Amino acid sequence: MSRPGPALRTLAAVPLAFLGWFFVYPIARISLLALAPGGRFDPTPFAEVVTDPGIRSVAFFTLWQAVASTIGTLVLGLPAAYVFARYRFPGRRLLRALMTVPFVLPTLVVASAFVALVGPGGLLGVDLQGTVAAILLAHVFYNVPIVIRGVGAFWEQVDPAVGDAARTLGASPVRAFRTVTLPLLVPALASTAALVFLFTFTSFGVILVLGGFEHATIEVEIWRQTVAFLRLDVAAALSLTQLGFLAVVLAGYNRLQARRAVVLPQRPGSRHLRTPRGARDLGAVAGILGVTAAFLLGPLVVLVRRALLTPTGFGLDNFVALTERTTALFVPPVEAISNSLRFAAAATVLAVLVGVTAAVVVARDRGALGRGLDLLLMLPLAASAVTIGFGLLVSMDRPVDLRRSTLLLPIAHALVAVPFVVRAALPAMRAIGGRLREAAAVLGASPWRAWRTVEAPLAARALAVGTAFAFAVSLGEFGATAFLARPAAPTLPIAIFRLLGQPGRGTIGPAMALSVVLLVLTVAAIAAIETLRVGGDEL
Amino acid sequence: MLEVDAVTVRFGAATALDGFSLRVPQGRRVAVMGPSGSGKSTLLRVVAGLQRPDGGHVRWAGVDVTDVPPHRRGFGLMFQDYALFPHRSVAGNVAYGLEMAGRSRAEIAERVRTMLELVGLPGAEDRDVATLSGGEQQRVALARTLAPAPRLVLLDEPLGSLDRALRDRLLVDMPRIFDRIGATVVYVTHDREEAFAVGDEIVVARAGRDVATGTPEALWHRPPDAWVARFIGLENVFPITRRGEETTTGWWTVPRVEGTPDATHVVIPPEAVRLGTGPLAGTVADARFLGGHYLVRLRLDVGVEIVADVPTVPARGSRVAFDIDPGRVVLVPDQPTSSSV
Repeated sequence: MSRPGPALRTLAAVPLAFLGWFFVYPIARISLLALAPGGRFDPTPFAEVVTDPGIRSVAFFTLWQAVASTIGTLVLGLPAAYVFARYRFPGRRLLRALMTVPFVLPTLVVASAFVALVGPGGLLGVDLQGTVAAILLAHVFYNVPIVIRGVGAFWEQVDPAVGDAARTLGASPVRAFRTVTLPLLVPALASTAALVFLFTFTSFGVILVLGGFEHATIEVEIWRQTVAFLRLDVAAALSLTQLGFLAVVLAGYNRLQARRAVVLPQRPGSRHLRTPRGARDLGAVAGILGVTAAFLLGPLVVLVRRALLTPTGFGLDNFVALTERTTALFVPPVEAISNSLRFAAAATVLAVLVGVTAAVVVARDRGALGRGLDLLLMLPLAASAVTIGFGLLVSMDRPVDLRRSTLLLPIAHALVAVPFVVRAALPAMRAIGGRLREAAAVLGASPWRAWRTVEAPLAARALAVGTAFAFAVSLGEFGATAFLARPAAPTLPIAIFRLLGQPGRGTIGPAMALSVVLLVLTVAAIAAIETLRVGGDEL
Repeated sequence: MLEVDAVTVRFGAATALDGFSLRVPQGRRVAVMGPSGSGKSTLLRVVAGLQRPDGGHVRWAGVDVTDVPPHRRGFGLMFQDYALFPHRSVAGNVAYGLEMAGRSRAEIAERVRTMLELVGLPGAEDRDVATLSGGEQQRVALARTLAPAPRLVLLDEPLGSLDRALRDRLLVDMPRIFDRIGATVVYVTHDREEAFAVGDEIVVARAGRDVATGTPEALWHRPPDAWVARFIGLENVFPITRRGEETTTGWWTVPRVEGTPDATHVVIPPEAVRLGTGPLAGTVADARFLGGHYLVRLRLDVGVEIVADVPTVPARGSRVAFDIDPGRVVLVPDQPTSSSV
């Protein structure tokens, strides 16, 4: 590849400027705040992070709950991953799509669902709010879809003939699994586990709602230090420490991903699917799917039920109550809906603009510019949303004071959404101008017709998928929003959080109703993505 | 002796095997030959114990093994795409069955060495299976299958994905290897040449049934029906009509030949067509040199084509007279019946 031309470099300026201003610069300001709070080098904030027993116990809790959540997720997810990887049955695609839903839900919807299930007055009759059990349950619920999709898709590629070969060579079923299938799955298992660990390690909304006062992750502690104690230097030191730790985990994850690519001869997976036969087979498949589906879809049903529950039976009272002012918010909760939609629209425009220009540059330039941008684009994903929100909070006073701008939230949301938009747009951007155009040309299409009939539809679809992704991400974003939302203009997750935080004042019902609204909006966006998406699984 | 007795396997509404039967005496090689979808692979899976039949039995030495799980059968199965273990070296693959049998480390190393020599890959122990060529993978898979000295060797299209030259060489090598170890073999293929080269006996499979059984020669000279005749490569299969005592193809009166009364077709082996003299005539459409002899295709005036296997070739487009040796033609019914030759 030659050096990038002037047009490409101009295009690259858009994502570079955006990421530079709103991501790299805030991280630099966080570093400055942590290392030199008074303008000169001063290790006090770090010393505090290391020595404070409260923070030490937060770090310990963050780690062990993430490990426990990861193990629980694998234990519940693997049987279902196996069934989807090996069996053909009616409704397979639909069921798999449904079981993916929890993963794409906003954290606050998940938190609400588990409050409805195991919170005070919950359907199960046990109040687990404030316990580790509630946190772990919600984390497993949230992440099992990653195992079903990630490990399941990989497992489907493992030719069952290798397991059969082991059987005919004298291995019992258990031994064949242990000596052949399991070793082949290890890379997928390890990378999926790393991903789940990462997500649960940086869990914020779920812990804030379900963890009560006793349980805090580093993310929650950053928020508390900022909002409650106004210790920005300590929060910055915590943020930086976590960033370093996440970088190490991600590097490990990347290496596993690279290894995972070499091992297997790829085969079309569906060829290996078999229909369950016999009572034992049918029972096992139905049992595994039933338990998993109940666990993944049950809480959502319970959420909807709780939203419709009134003191006198079922009705729409909780939804009607959204128009009334409460002590939890300065505005009627219903305004959060229009706020969220407006912010999401602005964030989507920003994210698509930045994401698509970035995708074009990454697709076109195989040199340092494209590769560097590709890496830079993934960083907001690696840094937590809390870090993004915190970073913007402490840095947007200069050079232009954006702290009161209505654009600040859309900017934060766009930062979180851009990596998704790039991933969605990249395949189409790579296809444009390449082999497809040549194929169209030899089939007799003029360049204009080739663009109109082949490339434009591809680009339009990628754009639509990116748009829906950005919209869904913005709607549900909570980590960054918690730092930046103004009290007079709450988003849906913020309003839900405030309503949930006022137990005993009759706001739980409206909180559930608002969660259902957010659930419906998100599922609509995700359904649009699923219908539009060209390729298969991303994970 | 392996006995497969009326085995039936259904997948939902589809029937993969429909009362399939097969016998393989100790030390013999049977080639099961059929088009794709005829149930050949399912048959091997049933014999190996990987697929439970919905009906029928599998017996070994008179003992019913239908309910015995695959790892206790002592049968070896070589898979279509080899199914080598990608996480193990060549030696690790060949050693697997021996490890399962609990052999000692020294014994395993020795046996792996012997097996790799047998299949023509001496010294390949430490190679990564991902670096092997198709032919080498095939040999490793064969060595892995044979290493634990299975009582019965099952092979599923073992040469399917190899190029022609390699296939031809392995078609010579493999039967020799089986002879050396005295293996009892079921060899599944869709390819006539492979079936004829490997099988002492051929079983033709169609739509889940065994529709013909016999030696290659017997099937060639006495095909049981028109479908089998065409499937094993006999091209001269013509419908016949009877008018009184006379049986005719429309262009040739079939002399009195043996055949069933329900015969609807006549099969004329290409070597039964003699060029030069005779009451029939056709134009040479094309000729294929087969090394020492030719396959000549004649176009008759009525529009039919007939193939002749002859030692010399007439010029293309020339008109030649020919005759048919009535002693070598067979009258057959159209559809397969469960007859054996």
